[in-house]
Amino acid sequence: MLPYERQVVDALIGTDDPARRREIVDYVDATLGAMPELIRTGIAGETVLLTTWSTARRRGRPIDAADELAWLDGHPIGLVRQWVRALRSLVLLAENEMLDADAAPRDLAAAR
Amino acid sequence: MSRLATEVLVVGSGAGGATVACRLAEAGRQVTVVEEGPWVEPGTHAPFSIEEMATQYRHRGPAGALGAPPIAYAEGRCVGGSTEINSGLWHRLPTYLTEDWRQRYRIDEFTPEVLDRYAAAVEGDVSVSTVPGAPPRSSGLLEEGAAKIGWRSTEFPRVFAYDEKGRGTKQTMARTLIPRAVAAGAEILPDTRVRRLVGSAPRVTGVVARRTRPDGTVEDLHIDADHVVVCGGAIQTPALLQRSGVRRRIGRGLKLHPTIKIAARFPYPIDHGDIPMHRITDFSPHLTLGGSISRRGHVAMALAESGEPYAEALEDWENVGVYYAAIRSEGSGLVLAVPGLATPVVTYRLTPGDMSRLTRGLLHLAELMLAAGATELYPSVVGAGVARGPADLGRWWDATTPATANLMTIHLTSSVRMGEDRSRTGTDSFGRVHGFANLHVADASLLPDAPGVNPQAGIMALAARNAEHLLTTL
Repeated sequence: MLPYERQVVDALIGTDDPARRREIVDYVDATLGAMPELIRTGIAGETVLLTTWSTARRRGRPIDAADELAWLDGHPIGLVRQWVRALRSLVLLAENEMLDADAAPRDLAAAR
Repeated sequence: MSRLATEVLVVGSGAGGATVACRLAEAGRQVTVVEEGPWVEPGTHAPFSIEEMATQYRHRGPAGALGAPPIAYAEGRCVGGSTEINSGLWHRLPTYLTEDWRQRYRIDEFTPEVLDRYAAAVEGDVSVSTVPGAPPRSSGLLEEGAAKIGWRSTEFPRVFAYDEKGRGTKQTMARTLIPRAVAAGAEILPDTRVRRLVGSAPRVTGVVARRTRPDGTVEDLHIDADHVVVCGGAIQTPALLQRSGVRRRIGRGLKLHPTIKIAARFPYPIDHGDIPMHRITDFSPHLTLGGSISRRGHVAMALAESGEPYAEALEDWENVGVYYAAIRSEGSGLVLAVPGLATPVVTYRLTPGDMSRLTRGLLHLAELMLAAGATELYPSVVGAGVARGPADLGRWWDATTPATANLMTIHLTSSVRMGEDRSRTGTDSFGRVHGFANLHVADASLLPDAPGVNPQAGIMALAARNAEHLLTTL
């Protein structure tokens, strides 16, 4: 995962539990790494551009999570909104599935 | 490089590969099956969980067909292929479609009688049955909503076996035909990716593959084979053929079922461990309404795809179910193996008519959900807004565009069509690749078009038919 992707993923994670946050980051990192090369390259290329754009926009100030997400979610370029939606989907899937697994381990035989 | 030899090499172990391997092995042929993914003991992971996605899905889940809009898709990658990860819903191919395909592509021995005979045979292999007793709430809601509107709903059977307590076990290939093939002498090589076919028209002589050992080290294999049957599915099969220099009518004409979703919130809890087995069939096969995966993580993703604030609805996730509208598409796509890339490039072009049908499907689905008692609808369309009643649906028409719709599919077909019309097909009527005497295909790639229903039944029936035909030539 590229540094700016990691910063946005950090901003998207809801839980404060450091161990769970690490698990979610690891999940997103592994899933991004397993994507088809062309799609991963496209996302990474966009990340590089957004890194520069975000830095210029903040004029060197550190990232404010809520402000950064609002900027990405409301971005006039559709590809940027798709970029943050892709990361949000991965974070939401991981975080909520992990919460569900904590809450109620399933009877796999019955579930199948 | 290690060297192996076999009479028939089957590449892929999903619905097509397992059926071919079982039929040939039980007929006494020497069969080896190579599968790129791992062997995972059935029942190891909860269905549709992230653990299952990490181990049994290609790319750990997400892949996408490029286009406007892009369409997300998923494929199985394990022994048993997509049968290990799908819903197990069972539909025979619609007769009026197969008759159209038979004439248009000049497919021999493709009459309804022939297809029904093979469908009945494979249904005996995998225990096709309906749920004993009442359907789960998530499925019953579809039935109730349809009854209120006056639409027809149908409970579809699944490849499930039920015990005396009514507990279902999905009859995947790893539980059914793969063990039968092994019992009949077939050898299964998991974690083995075929890099390319060896040989050229009119004969292949085998494949070059790479096996990953349990300790992570790799070993290159050269497998000699008298016959090769490629069963990697509609993306991997054309990619392997193209990587091997077989390109004529290969990879073009990819078809899929573009699918749009709604996360529907009800004033009471619904079940989340299963996929609804009811479908609204009034508009079939061109438009199908049904239920999707509604585990917590999938509910969260579906809510977020609306682009609307979703935190409060997510808190109430046990009352939310994910439902879909899927269409048969006029558009088509392309699978292209690019030198240097392990994964083929996949594109898909939707027509304006497809977008119109998807929008109509979304609105029909919304109407159905409201009739079923839903109080809030979150469409997978950014900017459409949350609907709380029929009056809110008007704006969904204009809001659903290629730029705003989030689409997905799990059914991919038609990238190596079959038939005797060589100008439009990649194989003959029985899956033998044109120009080759001993190279065959037996998977979803062969279907001339998207069937509008879950394709597993059609794939298995075709694979059984093609295996029987191959046996007459060995």
